[in-house]
Amino acid sequence: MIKNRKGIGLLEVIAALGITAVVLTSLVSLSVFVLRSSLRGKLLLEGTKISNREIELVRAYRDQPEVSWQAFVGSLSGHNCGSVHCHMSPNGTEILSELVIRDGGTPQEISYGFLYEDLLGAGEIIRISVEVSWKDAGVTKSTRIYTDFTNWQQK
Amino acid sequence: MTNKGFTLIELVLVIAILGVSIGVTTDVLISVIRGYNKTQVMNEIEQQANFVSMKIEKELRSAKDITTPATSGQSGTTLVFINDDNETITYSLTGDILQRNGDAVTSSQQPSGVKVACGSPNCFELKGTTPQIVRITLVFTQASPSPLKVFQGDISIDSTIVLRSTY
Repeated sequence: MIKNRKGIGLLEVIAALGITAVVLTSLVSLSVFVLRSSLRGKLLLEGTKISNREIELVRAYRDQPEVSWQAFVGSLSGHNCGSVHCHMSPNGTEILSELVIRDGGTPQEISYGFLYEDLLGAGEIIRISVEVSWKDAGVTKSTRIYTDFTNWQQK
Repeated sequence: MTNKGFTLIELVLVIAILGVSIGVTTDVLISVIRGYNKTQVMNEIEQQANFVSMKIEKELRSAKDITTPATSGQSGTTLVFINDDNETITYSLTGDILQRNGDAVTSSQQPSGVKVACGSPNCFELKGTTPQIVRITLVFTQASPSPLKVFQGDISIDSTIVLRSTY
């Protein structure tokens, strides 16, 4: 009986290990990428929700019967919202000139605020841009939504 | 003339390679078709969700007063308000159907129907009283049951509405 005494060479083992390592690394990085993307998507959705709510509060503030268009624009410039981030009070009754920082100092920290821009310089078209920022793996990400307001009710 | 043909090993190898390549191609084709179907399903749900949210938002913005939920911070599956024509309008979630004054706004009938559920914390939450601010959180899923995950999907709406006449 002839016995086959040939084994696997060292080179073959190293090559096999190398291929396995490459395959495993790519699989792990792929799954990390998928998890990151899903988290990024969730945070972006949350940011969009905050922006939409803030814009609705500003729009409602403009629409109130007793606030004229001039008073609305004056309130924005009075609070220096052109250069400092402002936000609406949660009950929607006033503009406050500061950035909101939620869960400050934690990894879930989210900050938001809006800036205004007088597009024509005549107080006719006001652009409100809401910016929401959050931290994703130590990197600051943000989303910005803007809407242009006009005095369409002529008040 | 050579009489040499293919050996069994060669034949097996060719069949194996062919099998793998056919398998991969089929897989790609199936995933493309599934992706297309998923998009169709999501589009259908999104249309229904947009319709419902636009309808409620439009009515609520011009409404005069919200009676249910009554106090700030309270939430529930029913929203009652007085509209600008002084009519009492009731939106309520009964089972998985959203109703307006008892009439269904959404249909769970197949094939394009949707099921509605409350998001977190609840369907309708009163966030403030002067002005009245309502937060609406609804989740829409397709009504036709499917064992395959690719044919399932949900769209959630989370919108905040301020009643203009309650300042």
